[in-house]
Amino acid sequence: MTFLPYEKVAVPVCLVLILIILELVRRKRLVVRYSLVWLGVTFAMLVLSLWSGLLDAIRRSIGAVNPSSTLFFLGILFSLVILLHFSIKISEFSVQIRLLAKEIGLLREKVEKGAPKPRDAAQG
Amino acid sequence: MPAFNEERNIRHSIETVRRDAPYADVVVVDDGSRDYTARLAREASATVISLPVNLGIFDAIHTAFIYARRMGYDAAVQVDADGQHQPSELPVILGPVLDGTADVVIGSRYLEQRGYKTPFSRRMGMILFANVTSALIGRRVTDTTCGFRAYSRDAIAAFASETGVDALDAVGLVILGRAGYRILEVPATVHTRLTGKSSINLVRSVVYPFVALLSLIPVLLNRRLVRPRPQP
Repeated sequence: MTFLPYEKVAVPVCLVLILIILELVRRKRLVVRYSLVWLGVTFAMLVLSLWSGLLDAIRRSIGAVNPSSTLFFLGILFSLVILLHFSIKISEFSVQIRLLAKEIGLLREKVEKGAPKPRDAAQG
Repeated sequence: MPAFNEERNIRHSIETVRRDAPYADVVVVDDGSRDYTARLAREASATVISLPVNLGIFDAIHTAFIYARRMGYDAAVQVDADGQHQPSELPVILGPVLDGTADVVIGSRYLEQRGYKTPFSRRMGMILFANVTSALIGRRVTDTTCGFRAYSRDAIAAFASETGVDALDAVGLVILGRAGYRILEVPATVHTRLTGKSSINLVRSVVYPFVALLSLIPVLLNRRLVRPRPQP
């Protein structure tokens, strides 16, 4: 049985991904805070691609035949971690945005009470 | 009074409250309505808090709690904007709050049979949730989702400080009940809607109890969420 030369694919992919993430941070398209989870996951994938001993140990422990499928499995696992991370962030943002919307409504009521009423205020 | 696209009922609802409870300030939380709800409410000389986007009824009510706490009200009453409730019954639900014997008074549709018919799709979940709530707070509650309620100053502060709670009406009861707030139910008359459709559709009414049950998990597992009632 011949194994795919997974390192030849996985290592460049990880390196390119790290470069893309760093570039996004440099252009301020990605905030440092949110790049950390990406960098961590990509770095872990890189380590696994280079350190075949560790990958093989994991492969044996999960009963997989092929190191590249082990890498795929871990990749899916990492994707789930990132998705969960996003869900947590979305929940945080949702609470924050809702509080802000309420605050805007409360402030608008205060402002409009004091200000003269515009003539064509349909919905305030 | 939370309101979402209630232009056909809002004026009537405000006027009924004004007539039956002239001592009360009427505050309408317009939950991002796309019709003339806010304008009509203002013309009926209610205080209108217009939310810039539709947040859903629980957040609309939460906004009202924040407002009530900031304005320092001694008591607040939640009334639906669709004219389903009888503001003439206001003294009944407000009484226990004002004389200091309860923190939350619920005008229950089910404590006495007064002709309110619950759609079958909602009944199962509601009974289930009412029983769970009753067990958790150690007090019989028959109507956890009723929109006709009175709150004391302490209850207003407690509800206002709860953020990020789904299904605030039912889950909030459990939070407050377990924190030592006194919850009381009195029978209330609830009419069917004047006009328009309820914001609760079939899917939501079936899913809702499960959302509420799930929302209970953090309440039960996380002690920090439940602050005890301040002792006088």
